[in-house]
Amino acid sequence: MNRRIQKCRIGFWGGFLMAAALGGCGAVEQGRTFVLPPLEKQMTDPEIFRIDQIQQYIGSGYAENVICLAWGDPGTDLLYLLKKDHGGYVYQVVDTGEDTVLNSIFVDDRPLENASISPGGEYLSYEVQDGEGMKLIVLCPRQGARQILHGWERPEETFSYIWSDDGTLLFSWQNGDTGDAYEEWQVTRYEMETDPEAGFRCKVVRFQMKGHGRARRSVCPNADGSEIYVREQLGTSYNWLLLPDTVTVEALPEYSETAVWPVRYTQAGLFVQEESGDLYLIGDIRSKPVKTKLLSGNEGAYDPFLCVCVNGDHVFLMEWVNYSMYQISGLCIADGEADGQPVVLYKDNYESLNRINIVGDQAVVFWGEEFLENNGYRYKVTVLRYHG
Amino acid sequence: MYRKKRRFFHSILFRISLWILLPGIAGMFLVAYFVEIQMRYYIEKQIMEDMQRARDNSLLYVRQTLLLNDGRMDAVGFELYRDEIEKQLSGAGYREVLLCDPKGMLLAGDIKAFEVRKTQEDFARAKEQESAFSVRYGNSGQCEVFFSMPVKLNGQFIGMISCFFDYGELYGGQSETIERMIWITVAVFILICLVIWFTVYRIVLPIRKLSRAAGEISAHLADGGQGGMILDQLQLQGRRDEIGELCSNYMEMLQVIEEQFQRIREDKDRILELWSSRQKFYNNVTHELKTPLTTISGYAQLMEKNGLGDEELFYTGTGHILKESTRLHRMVVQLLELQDKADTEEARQLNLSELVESVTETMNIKANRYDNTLVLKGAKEYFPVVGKEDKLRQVLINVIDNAIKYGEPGNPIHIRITGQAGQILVTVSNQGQGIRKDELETIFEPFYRADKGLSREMGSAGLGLSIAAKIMEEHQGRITASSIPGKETVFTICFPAAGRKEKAQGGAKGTDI
Repeated sequence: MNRRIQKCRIGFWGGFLMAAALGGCGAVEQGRTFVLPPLEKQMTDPEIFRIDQIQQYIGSGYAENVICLAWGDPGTDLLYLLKKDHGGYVYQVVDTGEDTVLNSIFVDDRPLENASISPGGEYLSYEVQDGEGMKLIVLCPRQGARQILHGWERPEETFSYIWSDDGTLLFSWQNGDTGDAYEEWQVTRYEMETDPEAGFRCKVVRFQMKGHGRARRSVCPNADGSEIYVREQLGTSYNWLLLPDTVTVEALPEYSETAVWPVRYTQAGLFVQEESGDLYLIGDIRSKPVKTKLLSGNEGAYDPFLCVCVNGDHVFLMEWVNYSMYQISGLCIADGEADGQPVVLYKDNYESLNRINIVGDQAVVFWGEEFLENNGYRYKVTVLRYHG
Repeated sequence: MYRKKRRFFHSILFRISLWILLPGIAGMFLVAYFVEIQMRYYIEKQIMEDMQRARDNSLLYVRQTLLLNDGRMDAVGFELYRDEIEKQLSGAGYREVLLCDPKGMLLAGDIKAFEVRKTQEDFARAKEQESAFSVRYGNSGQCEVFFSMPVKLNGQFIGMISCFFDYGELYGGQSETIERMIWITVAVFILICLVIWFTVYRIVLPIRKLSRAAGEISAHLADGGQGGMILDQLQLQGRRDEIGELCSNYMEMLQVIEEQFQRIREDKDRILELWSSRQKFYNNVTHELKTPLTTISGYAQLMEKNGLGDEELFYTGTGHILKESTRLHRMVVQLLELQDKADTEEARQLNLSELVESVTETMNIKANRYDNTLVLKGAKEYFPVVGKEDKLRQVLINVIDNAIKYGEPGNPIHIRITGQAGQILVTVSNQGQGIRKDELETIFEPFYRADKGLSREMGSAGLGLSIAAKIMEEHQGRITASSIPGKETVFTICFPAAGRKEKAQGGAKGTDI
């Protein structure tokens, strides 16, 4: 009986050890095949947000020399750009379809600052310093005319600029980071008029603002420039709505307990982004602001650069994915709320992705730099034509 | 050698080591196995997520490549712009990109890779419009992932993409980490084994020593030997645990056994001595009984032969017969007393002084016959003892009688009563030839006589002192003798004191003893 028990015991332990040894030392399965779950319909056939056409232009020369650029009107293949060339700055019109330079104008040989081309490429605004101080100049390349819009003596006094979507209005304001503009500052709307006969003219509407010391100032005009939302914040926040037609300043109620950065003021409301990256839509800003969350920021990650279309129903996000990979995502806004999740529209490699603009609520344009083998970069402009 | 080996395999140390090693090793194997499985599970989970992203990205790349060109989203467009798609995918980090038409025919990519890839299950799945990936693990930390997917745009199956991803770095890194972890586990396990082995060895060592000691003690028991020296070898002092307690108890047990053995040996010697004494006693009794009987028988035969004609013989013979028969009777009575046949008296408290005084008075007559006198000292004090008066009187009579018989005539015999250290001592000393030192130990044995001829003349059977010694033993006392041959002999009767008590008569206070 004892011998039998002992045999059983030896058998059990032998089997256990053998199994353990085979399991531990033996080769685990060397290969397997997995089937992925089916794709969601949105990925295979995106209906909410759909790219119909992609245009791409890779410019010759180094991207470092390109100061700014703008895509032409929807339906055209024209690219307007300001670049360093011929010992100064040159404004060029490029036919991307043919890859030819249609027009090239020498702008200035002095250092330019805050240069920007209006949407559609009709105007070029820039700052330049001469013996009398700083000057804000607008160039109308088509007519070869230029006009000094504003001049100031102290170069330390800085301004910011933004063009309206139709490219005819230029808005400028004094930044709140120098003492010159702590107490009083101005928001100016320059209305460009080009008449083949009368030439290039500019109509100015200026708002005198009361400052509250050092602050961050944001100016967001609506689509036609008839309303200008202004925010000043550093600790305490102040909101105004400027009405150029009557040249009146209307104080607005506060809508956020935390610091927000205005992105775009549209007919759908005011788009603001919090420090966390969350995107909100503030509706009815003039009476009882309503704050609606549209998108959660990816905390701890690279915050996307946001761009909102003129009607406020399309939001584009330019995101860095990894290494040199960037992606453009789109989010539809319907009835003041996000319609689903952002859809990835485009993904490509860039050394850096610089700008993103929307042309006529039909196409999103962005340009970035591609690395060249001779340690240089070339610029690549991509246009995504969408509907949704 | 075989026995030693067998003993080793049956030892506790070996068994415990085996019980730790076998499950431990098996456990490590199992842990290694499950860790490997778990690691692969997590890697495959990550690969699954990566491949889902790769599928989404691939579709996006194909779509944007086709849109970048003429926007033709069908199989023709896929075939037309295969190089651009391949370039786009390669630029996104895909390796060994193969583009195939919906039937699985190669459109772009390496033909050799295609020949291998088309036999794989993931490729077959892609032909069935399912995205799949195959993971192949190598023995040196390789982890290759082959991914195949159908390209479906706007509901149309326009082609297939197959590519390769190398997860060797991730898998190899994790494998290396796990390998290191397992080696550390092995090292810790070995360390634990060593500690356990050493601990068990320390536990077992004294048990082994005990076992060895027990074996040696068993071997020596037959010789009547002892284990004291063996116990000394155990050297277990300082251990306070159960083993130490076991050894301590074991040693105590051995000491008890040894004491018992010693007692048995002593009992054996005493039994042998008693047997010898008894034999001697028996011989003495038969001899002492035979002697008067021989005299009686001899005279009776002579008287029978001579009849009434020899009157002198008749009277002489009758006298001898009477004398010997009287002696015989007395001897029998004494023997009976020695055997305690007629003892019915109850023990009670007595004043020893009164008893000694009474006996002294009685025995003084006999002393005068032997031209001696008895001198009593200390009888005025109260010395209480518990005992049987007749027996104690017998003791005193025997001792004093012995002193009278063997005392030098003309020299007084001193009797003294003293109390000291909880005892009452009665000493009887006489002047005379004394007793040799070697005889002092045997004078209390029955039928002992220092001078047999002399004592028989005095009518002694040699039983008096042995009777006295026996009575004293019954009364938890003792009787001893000391002697200086040719000068003096002192008998000391030692009684245990009964305690302080008032004098029975006269109301005088007793003496503390």
